[in-house]
Amino acid sequence: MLFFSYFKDLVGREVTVELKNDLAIRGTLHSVDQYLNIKLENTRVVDQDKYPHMLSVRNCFIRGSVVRYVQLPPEGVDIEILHDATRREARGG
Amino acid sequence: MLPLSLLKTAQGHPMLVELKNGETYNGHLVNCDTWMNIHLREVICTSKDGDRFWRMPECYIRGNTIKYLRVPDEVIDKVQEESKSRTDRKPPGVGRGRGRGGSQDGPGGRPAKGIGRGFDEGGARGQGGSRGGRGGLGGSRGAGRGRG
Amino acid sequence: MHFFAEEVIVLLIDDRKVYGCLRSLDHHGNIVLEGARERIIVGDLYCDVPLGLFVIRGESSILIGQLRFGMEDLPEDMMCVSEEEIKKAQKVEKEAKDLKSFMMKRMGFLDFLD
Repeated sequence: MLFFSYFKDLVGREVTVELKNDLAIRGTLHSVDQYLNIKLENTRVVDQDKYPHMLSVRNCFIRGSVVRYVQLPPEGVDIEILHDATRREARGG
Repeated sequence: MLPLSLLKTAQGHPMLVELKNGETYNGHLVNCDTWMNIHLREVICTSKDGDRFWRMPECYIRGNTIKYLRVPDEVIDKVQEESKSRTDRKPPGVGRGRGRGGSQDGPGGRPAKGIGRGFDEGGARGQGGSRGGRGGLGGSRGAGRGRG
Repeated sequence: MHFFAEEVIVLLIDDRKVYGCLRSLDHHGNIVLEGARERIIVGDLYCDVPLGLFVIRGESSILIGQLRFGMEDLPEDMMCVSEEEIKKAQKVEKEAKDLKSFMMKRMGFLDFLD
């Protein structure tokens, strides 16, 4: 639940999602759901030459289970809030 | 229209099922369930590299091993027809209205949800509407019939 | 942002790319595509293979992409070839890949292979 809320706060920010098949997609975080499925807007693929079929993809829905990393904007990370939320979660909500 | 209702409608039609391991199964769909488990008849199984074949009179495939299915084009028109005729027979709101009436006669407000659902399904098949009016129990009976 | 009745690309877990009109999607992520076709790409060759009505199990899809203006454009230097030719090219690519991984396994300590 923590990561779900955390990603919800990042909606509207620019992120890079790296998938387990090495495909990395940059775009604006449009939404996220409880499975951490991600919707991105205005996407572009980092290594465009290797993935020509992604050239015309503008918006996309990514299955949470195939995500390896999400690279966040540094200003999107507030360590204090994250610490508090983690402690709260550890105490059981 | 949900993907699983499309499969349900595809009963009796030929289809191709590819499993996650790359094997494909061609056959006629006998039945499927909500887990996407699939029962095929007159099956030809093809190995991953496509160079070996096996015939079998029927087979049963566990849903979670499936990668994708190819279904004849006309099935999608059939689903749309079916879901349309279902709404034609019962204008939206009628079933639910009756359901709520029933719950007032019943023992308290809580079962209203179950009753409403039972009527929606039962009403679509043209049965169970008058019966369920008696309250909680009737409603749940209606639901059971609706599903079957 | 929902992609219903739109042309989409679906990437599958086995690295295949399927185009089609998105007709249905449930909470498992199961997908129905109408008029689906698989685009096979090998190097700068490609081919579209028609698949018809296509149901994809949720777990086997990686990504659903909405296409810009409903287009499926590729870089201009890519060439459309027949199904037969693309299958041949696929086979050659696979053999080269197998050979490379075999060599890497045997002689991975020689860094010029990389």
